[in-house]
This record gives sequence, structure tokens and C-alpha cells, in this order.
Amino acid sequence: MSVDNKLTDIASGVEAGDDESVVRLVQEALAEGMSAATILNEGLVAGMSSLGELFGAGEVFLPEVLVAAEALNAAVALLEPHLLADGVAAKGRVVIGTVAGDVHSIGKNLVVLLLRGNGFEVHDLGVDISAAEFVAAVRDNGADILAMSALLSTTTPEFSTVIGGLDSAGLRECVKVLVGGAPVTPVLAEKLGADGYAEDCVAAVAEAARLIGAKEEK
Amino acid sequence: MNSKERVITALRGEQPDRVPIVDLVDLPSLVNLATTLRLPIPEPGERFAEQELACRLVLKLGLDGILMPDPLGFREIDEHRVRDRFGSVYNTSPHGDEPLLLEGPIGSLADIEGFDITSALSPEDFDAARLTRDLLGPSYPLMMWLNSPFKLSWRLCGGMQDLLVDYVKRPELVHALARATTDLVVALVEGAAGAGMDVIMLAGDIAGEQAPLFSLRHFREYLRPYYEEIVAAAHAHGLPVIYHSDGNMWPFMEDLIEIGFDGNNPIQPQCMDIAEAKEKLGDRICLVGNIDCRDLLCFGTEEEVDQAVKETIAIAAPRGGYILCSSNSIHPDVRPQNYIAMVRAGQKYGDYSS
Repeated sequence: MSVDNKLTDIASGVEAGDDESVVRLVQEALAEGMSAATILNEGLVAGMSSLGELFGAGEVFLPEVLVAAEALNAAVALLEPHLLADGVAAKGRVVIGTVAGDVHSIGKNLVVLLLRGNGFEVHDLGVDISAAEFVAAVRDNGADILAMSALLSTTTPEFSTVIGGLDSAGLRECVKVLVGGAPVTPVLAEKLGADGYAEDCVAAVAEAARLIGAKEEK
Repeated sequence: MNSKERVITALRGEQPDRVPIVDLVDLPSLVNLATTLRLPIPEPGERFAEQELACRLVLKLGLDGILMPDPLGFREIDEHRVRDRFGSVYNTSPHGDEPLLLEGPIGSLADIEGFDITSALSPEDFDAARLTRDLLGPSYPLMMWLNSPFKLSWRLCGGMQDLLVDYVKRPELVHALARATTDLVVALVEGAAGAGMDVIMLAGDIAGEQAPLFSLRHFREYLRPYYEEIVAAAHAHGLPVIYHSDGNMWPFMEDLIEIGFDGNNPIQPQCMDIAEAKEKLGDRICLVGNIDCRDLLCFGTEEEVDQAVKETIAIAAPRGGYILCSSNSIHPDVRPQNYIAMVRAGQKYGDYSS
């Protein structure tokens, strides 16, 4: 099988959520000497991106995205030692959680799966996370991005509390803040002083990549 | 027309004397409203305190009814955790919200074989309903909130995310969960009918604001046949059924009508336009809700609430088939003054004779 065919099959396997075939194909590709970075970017991430487009267009739904993300993560776990050995660094370090008073997790979990699948190092704090917990996690992990989610209008003010906490701790300049969730709009994100906003889990990955780019330029 | 006749008439898609007003008001909000209205508040922990308070609120505000919470409830494990009677464990929320599911007892088909879910029911589950009937009398509709097989299924298997993955990977388990939970809901419908309930609200969110959680194909495979059984069981007892799901429900609406649901709630204003709903659905299913409890009732002014109710009634109420209700529930972040303004506006603008 040609390199291109192998990568196409890996991408199709991710799109179909077929974790067994994706893992097998990735093992074969590694054994054939393909680089882990090529498998990740041109196979796994390419498949997830195609599915992301279908999700954005309303042609596939959460079940299909969840199983694809599981397949992606199973394959990334296989690639990680190779990426490390090849000196391929994580694309960025992300601390993520749902804000205090909010226990909604599914959207945040999808962002975690997709960020990991796209080569980010992710520290998932869970749900109902206080400002102090976010600030401590940003400091302790040296996060490039703090990603926060809220599903209730009444919990979105927590974004400001956390951003204020980063300011007080002298960390605001070191970390980019990305927000999302049903009641969050670009206007609200800007008003709160966030650096980025994502409408859904697929957009969150692209926005995280943009923020890392902006951080490196600085 | 009394309140019961008013609600039932609207649910038939017909025009009552005025727009009925009902809602789901949680316990912290009942206390907030009672404090604002200077109603006596029962001692905490007193049995049926919630029902007594709800009935006082109905009478004081002139509501046409209030939704009674899910009769199954939770039992305390310790200060921070509760369990339901099927073995799922939850963290209690310090904010008064629904408890957060931690784990469920069903991980495989083997777990569900011999899992006799209906044996967990007790005649006492409907004591609160009977008390409410006694307190309000026969002129008020008793409306019971029952969790749908979708919600009961994800609670049993440990989380919505797990269930949605099983939609693709383990269809047999999804069907086994739907079968067991449908048997439970049908038993609850029978119990509700026996306790004198008048309306069922079958509840389980299946849509986000942008799109449903899953495809119409999955809805038809995993939910529709089971929902048909539940609606048929309720209708056999003369009980209308309202389906509750937040979110963009447009892709499922034709199926909900074909299943035979009498009403749909809450027609979330962020993603479902009430004028479009009235035009496309209004003569086939009763519209229940649409008053925004995410922003308007929490952060708006009483004047803004009055205006929103006026506009919504002008669009949704003509020819009947509309019940005024919030876009989810009256929760602790709703300003009590705004809810009172919503009810007063409903009474002011909802009279069909004016």
C-alpha cells in the first residue's frame, strides 16, 4: 500500500470511528517507517478535520464525533512515544475546565478529546472549577492556554473572576484565555477580556492553534 | 373555565377563555418567591414542604398549575453524595441544581439482564401528588414531570457521553436500556393516572442550541418506538403528554407530532422562533413555553418581561394551543420579581375575550 493510501485509510478510519482499524493501520505505518508526525497530521488530524466539517454542517452529530475522537485518541496514545523520540513537541499546553457553578461536561470533554487528538498537552480539571483552582493549574502546569466553558448565562461572569485571578497572580500575560459554551458569544468573549472564542469543539481546536501562533509571535 | 379545563383545552389545540400559565419551579425558587410574596414557608425538612409551598404559590399568583417534580427523587448517601433507587450515584450541587451523575450500575448487556427496574417503585411515590390534589382541589390540573427513557438510560449507564458512544458501538445495549426504562416510565404513567394526575411532561434534553445531539435516524431507532408506547399508555388513561427538551428540536418536530405528543416544551427562544413554530406546528401540537429564563428572567427588567410576554402571546396564542411557561424552569437565578411580572403580564394580555 502506498504512503498516501495508508494515510487516506487512517483518515477514513478516524472519520468512521473505527478504532480497531485505525490502531492497526497506525501500527503498520510506524512499522513501515513512516514518521509519527506525518501519521498524526496527514492521517489522524486530516480525518478528524473532515468529520469536523460534516459536524459543522449538521450532517453528523455527537455520537459520530465521540467515537471518532476515541479512535483518534487511541492512535495518538500509540504515537506519543514516537513523537517524543523524534523531538516533536506538543503543539501547546492547555488547562481546561467548566467554571464554578456549572457542571456541564460534554462539550468540554469533546474539546479535550479533540485537542489531545491534535497534539496538544491537555490538563482537564473537570467541572465546577473555582477561579483559584484554574489559576493554580495555569501556574503549576505552565499553561499556554486556559480554556473555560460555561453552559449557563448565570455562570459566564465566572470567566471574569478567573481572568481577574490571573491578573492578580501576575499570570495574565503568560497565558491565552479561550472561552466557549452555549451562552458565550464573540461579543461577550471580548467584553470579558478573553483572547479567543470558539463556537463548537471543532472551532476550539483551530482557535487554540491560532492562539498558540499569536503567543509565539509575541 | 377553571384552570384544569383551561390547560386541557389548550393541550387539545383549542382556545380556552385565557392563556393558561404553568411552570416548573424548583425548591430554592419556591422559597425565593414565597419570601418576596410574604407567604409562610414550611420548616426545612418538613414532609411535602415543597408541595405545600407550590400550592400556596399557585393560589397566591393565580397560576393554572405547577409541574410536580419527578416522583422518584434521590436518597442521601453522605453530605456530598446522593443515589437514586436504581444504583446511580451523584454529587449534590452546592448551587441547588440537579445532582451531577458520577456513576451508573449498567456497563454491559449482562448487567441489565434480570435488572427488574419497576420493582423499585412504591405506591408511596405518589403521596406528594395525592397531597397536592387535596390541597388544590379538582379544579386545578396536576401535571407530573417524568424523566424520559433517554435521560433514565444515560443515568443508568453512567453518563450521556457513554450512551451516545453506545448509539454507534453497542446498539443492543441502547435498546436494552430503552426497553427497561420504558417499562419504568409506563409503570409511572399508570401510577400517575391512579393518583389522579391530569398531564404528563416527559422530559429529557436531546438537542443543543445549534443542533440535536444525535441524528433523526438514531431518534427513530432508539427513541421513537419507546416514546410511542409511553404516549399510548398515557392516552389510554386520558392523560395528554407534553414532550420537554431544550435546544433546537426542529429536526424532530414532525416525528414528535406523529408519535402523538399533545404539547412541546419549552420552544427555546435562542434556537426556535415562536412565530415559525406557530405557523408550522401550531395547529398540530400545543406550544408550551418560550419565555426566556436564561437571560430575560434572570437579568432583564420587569418592563422587558412584560413586553416579551405581550409579544409572545400576540404571536403564539391566537386560536388557542398555547400555554405560557418559561423556556426551561423557574430556577434559583431567576429574579422573583421578574417571574411575578411574567405571570401578571400573562394575565393582562392572555384574555381571549378582550
